Amino acid sequence: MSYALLFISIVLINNFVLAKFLGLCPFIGVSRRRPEAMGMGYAVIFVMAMASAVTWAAYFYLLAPTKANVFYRIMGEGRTPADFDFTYLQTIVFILVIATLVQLVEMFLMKMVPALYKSLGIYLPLITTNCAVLGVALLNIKDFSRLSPAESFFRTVLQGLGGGVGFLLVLFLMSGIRERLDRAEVPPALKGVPIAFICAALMALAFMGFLGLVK
Amino acid sequence: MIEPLIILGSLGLLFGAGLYIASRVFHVSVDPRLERIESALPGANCGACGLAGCAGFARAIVHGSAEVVGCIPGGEAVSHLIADIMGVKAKEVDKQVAVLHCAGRDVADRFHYVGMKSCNAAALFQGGPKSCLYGCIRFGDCALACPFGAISMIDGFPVVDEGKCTACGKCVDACPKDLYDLRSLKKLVHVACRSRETGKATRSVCEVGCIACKKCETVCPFDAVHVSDNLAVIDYDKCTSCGKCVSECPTNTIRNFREERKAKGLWPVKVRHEKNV
Repeated sequence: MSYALLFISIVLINNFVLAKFLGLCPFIGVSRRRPEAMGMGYAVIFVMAMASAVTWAAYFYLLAPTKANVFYRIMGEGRTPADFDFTYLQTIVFILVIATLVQLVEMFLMKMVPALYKSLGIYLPLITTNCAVLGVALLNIKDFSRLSPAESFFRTVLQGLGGGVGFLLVLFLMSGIRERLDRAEVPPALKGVPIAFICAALMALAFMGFLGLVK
Repeated sequence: MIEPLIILGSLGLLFGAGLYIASRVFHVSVDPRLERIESALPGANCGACGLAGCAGFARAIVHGSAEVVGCIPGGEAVSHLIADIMGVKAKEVDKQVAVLHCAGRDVADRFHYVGMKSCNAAALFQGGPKSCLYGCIRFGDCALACPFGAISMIDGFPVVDEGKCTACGKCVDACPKDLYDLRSLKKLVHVACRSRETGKATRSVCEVGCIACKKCETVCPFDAVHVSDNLAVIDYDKCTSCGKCVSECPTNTIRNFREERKAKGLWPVKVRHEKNV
């Protein structure tokens, strides 16, 4: 699979929100107005790309039973890499990495873009528990951990970046739709989040059409 | 197995140190006045200032979008504290209290009400069980709503403790009959009735209701009392609390709060002299 195909696939075909249904909380919560949606999207791109790179390093050098494992290098005398399989720590280590990155982004935004920081509000710290970010980290390991180190690192970062871009794309599209929905005549029972979910479902159906892009 | 401990421990240390450095690099200094104003406020988060809680009010003051006298429950004392912090001169605060416009303790029931013991619930059913449709239903929604314990039900009738009242306006919103008004403590004369029924109809259900006899209107030297829709209404811009209408009122509907407030030390209202800042 070429790099371009990988990128398009994660942005459009295997989109985190509309195909994998991850990260629905910020998708519904922050898609009310376009500027906030864009800000959230950029924050998620940054966190996803960084998280992919750092989790890859943590997995490759600390957790995976490979020859590059730090513990194998230090204490591997007369033992095989398989003795140093710490992949069961994957989830907790990845969560730690993501939480740290989100903190970093939060501090950065508070200092550099206070307006965006205020409008993102609670959703910024919530990226910590955004399942799409953990999802991309775990997916990277599942998809690329068997490739050569350089190859897998590059694909990992590309997938992280693409995941964020895909998130930004649907968040932006959704916020445009919801801005118009606010002015539309919606039955009272469906006003607000319910009609947004219906639109999301229709968008997911539409995105399924992208399956035809790859044979 | 020591490795998992090393992995998580070293990662934790590394990230912790990184975040510490980042928090130094991206340090944002908060206005120190914000904290001081917040600690000066009552912290009741009552919303009487019209902003979201005391923290929101403090932020609005620092940004200059709210007046330093905006905190109603805090009153004069808090306003002066905030004014000192902000380095501006506080305008004189007119302390207000909630005034109940009903004295119908002896109004009989029209029917036997067995529903929820709440004025707002009772008012929804035929306007409540009391014979006077304008008067107090006596279930005490106002006393429940008061965050400062200033309204107590004495013999089943609400009484405002003006010493405790901070004029937050919760009772004004709570009363389904709209019997409360916030009035300046300096204004001593109030009409204890809201009935807009004719004099005869009011008289038939309540001993102390306004019968619209217009004696107050005639006697007032300041043109401050007027009877409209069968009810005496005082224009507080003109009223000087002279008390002439009180002695003239045949049903004792218009009442003078002078003696009561004097006894509690609330009147005469002390005026604090401004210091120049």
